[in-house]
Amino acid sequence: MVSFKDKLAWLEARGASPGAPTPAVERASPDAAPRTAPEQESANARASTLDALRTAIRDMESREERRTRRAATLNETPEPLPGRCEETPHGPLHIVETALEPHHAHGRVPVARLLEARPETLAKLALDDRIATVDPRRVLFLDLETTGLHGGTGTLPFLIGVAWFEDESLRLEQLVLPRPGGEGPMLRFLRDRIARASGVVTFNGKSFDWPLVRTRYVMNRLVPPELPPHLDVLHCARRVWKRRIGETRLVTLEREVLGHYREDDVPSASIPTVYLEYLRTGRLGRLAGVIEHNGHDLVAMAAILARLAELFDAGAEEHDEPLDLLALAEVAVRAKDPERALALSRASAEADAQGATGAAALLLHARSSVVRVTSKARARP
Amino acid sequence: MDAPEHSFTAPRREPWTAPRGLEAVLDAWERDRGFRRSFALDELRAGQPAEHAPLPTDLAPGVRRALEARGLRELYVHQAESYEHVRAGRDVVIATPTASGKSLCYNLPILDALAKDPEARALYLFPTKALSRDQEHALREWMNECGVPHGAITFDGDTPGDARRAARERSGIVLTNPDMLHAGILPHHANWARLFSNLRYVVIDELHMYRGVFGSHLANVIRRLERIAHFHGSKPQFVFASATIGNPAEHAGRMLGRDVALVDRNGAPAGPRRVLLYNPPVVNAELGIRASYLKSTVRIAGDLVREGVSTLVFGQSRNGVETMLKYLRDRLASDGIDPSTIHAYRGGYLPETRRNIEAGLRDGTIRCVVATNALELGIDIGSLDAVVCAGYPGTVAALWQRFGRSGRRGGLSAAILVASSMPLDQFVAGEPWYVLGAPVEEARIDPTNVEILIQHLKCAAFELPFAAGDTFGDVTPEQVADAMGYLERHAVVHRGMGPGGTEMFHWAADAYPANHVSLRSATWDNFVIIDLDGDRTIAEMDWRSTHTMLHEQAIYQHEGEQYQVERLDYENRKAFIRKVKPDYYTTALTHTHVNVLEENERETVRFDGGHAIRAGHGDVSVVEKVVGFKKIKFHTHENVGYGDVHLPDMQMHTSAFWLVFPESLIETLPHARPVVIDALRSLANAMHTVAAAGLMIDPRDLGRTIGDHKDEGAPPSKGVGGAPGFDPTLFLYDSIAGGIGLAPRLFDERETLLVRTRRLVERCGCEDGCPVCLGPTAGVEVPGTVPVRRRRVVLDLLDTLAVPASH
Repeated sequence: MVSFKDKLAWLEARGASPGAPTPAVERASPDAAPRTAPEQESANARASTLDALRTAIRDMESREERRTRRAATLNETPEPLPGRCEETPHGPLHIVETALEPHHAHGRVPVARLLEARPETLAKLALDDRIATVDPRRVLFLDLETTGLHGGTGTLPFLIGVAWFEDESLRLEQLVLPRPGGEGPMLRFLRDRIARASGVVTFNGKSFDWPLVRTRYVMNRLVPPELPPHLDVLHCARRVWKRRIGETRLVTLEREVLGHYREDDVPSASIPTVYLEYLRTGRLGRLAGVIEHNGHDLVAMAAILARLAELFDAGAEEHDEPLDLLALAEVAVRAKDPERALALSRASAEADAQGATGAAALLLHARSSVVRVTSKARARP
Repeated sequence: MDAPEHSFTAPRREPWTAPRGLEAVLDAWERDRGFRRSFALDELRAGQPAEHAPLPTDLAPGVRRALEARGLRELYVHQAESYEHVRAGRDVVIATPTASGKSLCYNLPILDALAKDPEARALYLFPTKALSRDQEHALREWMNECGVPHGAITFDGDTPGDARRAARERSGIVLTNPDMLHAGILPHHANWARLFSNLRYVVIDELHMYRGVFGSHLANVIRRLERIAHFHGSKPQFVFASATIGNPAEHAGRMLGRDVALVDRNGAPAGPRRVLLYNPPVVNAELGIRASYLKSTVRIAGDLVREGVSTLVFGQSRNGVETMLKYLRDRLASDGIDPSTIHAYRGGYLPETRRNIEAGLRDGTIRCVVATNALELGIDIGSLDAVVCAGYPGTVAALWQRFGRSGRRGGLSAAILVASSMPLDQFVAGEPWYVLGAPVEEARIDPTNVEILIQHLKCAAFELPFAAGDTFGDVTPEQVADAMGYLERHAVVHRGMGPGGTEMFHWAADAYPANHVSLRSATWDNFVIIDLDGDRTIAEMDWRSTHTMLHEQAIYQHEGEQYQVERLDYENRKAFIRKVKPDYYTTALTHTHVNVLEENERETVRFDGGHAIRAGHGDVSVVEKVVGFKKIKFHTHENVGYGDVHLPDMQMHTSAFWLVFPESLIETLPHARPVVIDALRSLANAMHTVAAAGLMIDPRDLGRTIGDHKDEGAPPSKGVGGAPGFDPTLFLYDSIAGGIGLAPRLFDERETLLVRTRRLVERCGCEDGCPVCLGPTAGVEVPGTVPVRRRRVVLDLLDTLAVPASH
């Protein structure tokens, strides 16, 4: 009987790993794979063919192994992760800490402006009444970098970034996973941070980050934290800017809304590879760049939320986009705030007195007036 | 049907003298001598009375009340037996015929368990979405009646978001299909913690469907499921239900990786049944062409329906079903039968439509249903008076399952097979007893097929890291370690140290492996065939057959029409064809080269007084290449042209069975060597037919070629007809990469195989070779010799071996 190991070797020799992603490890040249064996007439021809095949496979395997060993050697003394390492009862915790200046601005928007936002405004932007209990001074911003975007139990968050305000200053804590299987300390740390927060703010966290976080607790046999009210900035931003800007990815909004341009950013698509390479080789490569990327994401989501709240409450400045104001007015309608709907639609109509947006705004304005009158009538005894 | 306005014009009947209904139809057929001649088989199978057992005494009161409210004061013996096994904590497989009340076998103990434990959960797997929906419906009714508060929710691609959450959080029974479990549930098992931590039962219905590649995949999905359940702290019990197959306990045991209790004593009653096989008469002896089996089916079904016999017609394809439906309606319209009483039934119908048809059949407003095999599965249409199968469904098990749809508890029923001109059908028609009288075929899977296993180990590593020493079902720790090494080298898992210094393998790749693994790989890589006139898709063809049947310039035959392939878009899996009226057809010239890598077993085959040959089986590499095609003139079979074909090689490792005919034997025959080699090819063709029938497999799952056992490194272009000094070898190999265990079975049956092949060659009604027996001729002519009939040469060869015609 052909052994299981030999069969695996055949699979390997054929270069077929059906459905596998292209291995990052360089493969032995196809020439090494046995294609045809020498023709022989002797009775043991078959046996020698098989021997030839095996030898070729062994050669190839040992070459592969050498490469793996080299990687393994590097693994033993990997380059030290950035930040500080804290020993916890459950293993090491790698943490990168940053404190921003109180007046730090991301592009045009000072981050601390979020502290002025009223919880009710945030609740209206999110169309979620529970957010009204959230104190902006105690929100926790959360963003993950992962080994893939597919979700599921095999996707690993290798970088958990959180941020919160200490007085006027935004503090960042980024937890780096030293190796798969070492998630315990960071998950416990995150649980503490969440327990202290009045709310969690993410960008696309409702469908991606939070389910993944929950999964990691289950996989590590830890009790998942109780999630306080959760505001997903992506949903709020989409309602307001989708029509004008088109797509609402974080970096796009950062550019269009905040006027911030990243330099030397690690593109999201290559982030998984950076970490997987680190695991294989022990070399940090662009890992520092990934940490910076994650930091930018945290700050950007705070700034975008601050900007949204500001627009909603104040509205009507010289340079405000009429389309944004109209969209905000629509949010106000959905959030059952006819006063703001009226103000925002009027501002929109004024900003675009001639155009189609202005016309739509006028229509909305008229409808909002009716709503306001009737709700006032109803409010009267 | 008996509308008053017809009563004056209808032919006069004397109901008190003439037999009515089914018996009248059967009588009429018997009186029609021309028609009667075409029945290759006609037999009466006796019925059986019901065997009952009392309701279990420990049933939850609500469940008992529900049963009694439905008038069930006792069970059939198989239902009671299943209940006992499940209650005793055993894994069990229930193998009883269609419509014997199988669902209750698993529903009863599970409803009982849910009634007693509000936290208990069960997972039901069905091969199709339609079946889960039907069962969901039925289960909910049961749960209501039993007062069990747990929900039952189908979770598949069509389940809306809210219901998905409910399925995860609250549902007592989740119904799904293997594909969804594989790609949608297991990789997200953390979201299903509530289900998995309380999972008590896994029900796998229609077990007989999971054979070959699909079955081998499912066995691995089960290994993953057990691993995940274990992680969440449960150890579910498995209940399998199967239509009749030859080896239910073995099959279920192999599926699960451990022994399974068997319930196969059927207690459901059955009336007597006439079993008939109709082989349409030959209309062109030279080409061996028979009358259309679709039209024959329509005639038979028409006779039945006209007499008010409720009839179910099975077709092989959607097209066939549509054609028969139209013919049947046209035929019966002239008898004043309302077309709406004849219905089609295929996969893809909405549940409501299907339920209307089911209800119509039960209350008699629908008298005939023409169905694809969507109805083969356990859908509830009650029983009918007659079943007509247009074409042999490929296996005895599937045939009996279709036949099982007919049968009144008391009266007579009929089951009729109409043979098509396909080789397998004609083989069945030639030896109906071999097939219909045979024990039902066995289902085989090979969960250790390395190509399949490695894919599921990847999925499993994604779901949960492996620790050194872990097993995977019955895969040993050493093999798991080897596989992890392989995956590590391919950079999809990361080796590291876990708690306590255990070596751990974590998934470490930016991929979702389940998305790359299709459980039903057979239908995965099909080519679509597009008719350029009319610009529509008329058929699909599997990847392998495409090479030989859809190369450019090939004549493709479809429903009796000829088309030429104008362009084959290999990249996009499309073939563009146009209708033509050629006076020739094409056959592809394929070079298949089999290279034996390792011989697992070898035996000498020697019949009394015959020459010995050697049989063996083992692992091989197969390279197939279509190099060209021949144009063969209709009627004269002249070779009227050649063409080249440029298509990529097909290469795989698989397992093969072979027979080595020593050179010394070839020399003893009084024929030229090329003629003998050609005869070996013909022999291989016949043996292929016999093997496919015997193993109950699709003939395409088996490949064949003649090669030389010693000549391993020879390039494929080297013919075997020429030089002496070789030992020609006949190979039959598993067409599925890695093999699913067909070769060792053929090796075990090697003598029977030769005997039955001889019988086929001797008894085939064709002139000198048809697709059933000897296959198309290679057209070997040796100058200066008198041409010999191929059948003669093949029989001479078998005589030299002294292969008898019966065992």
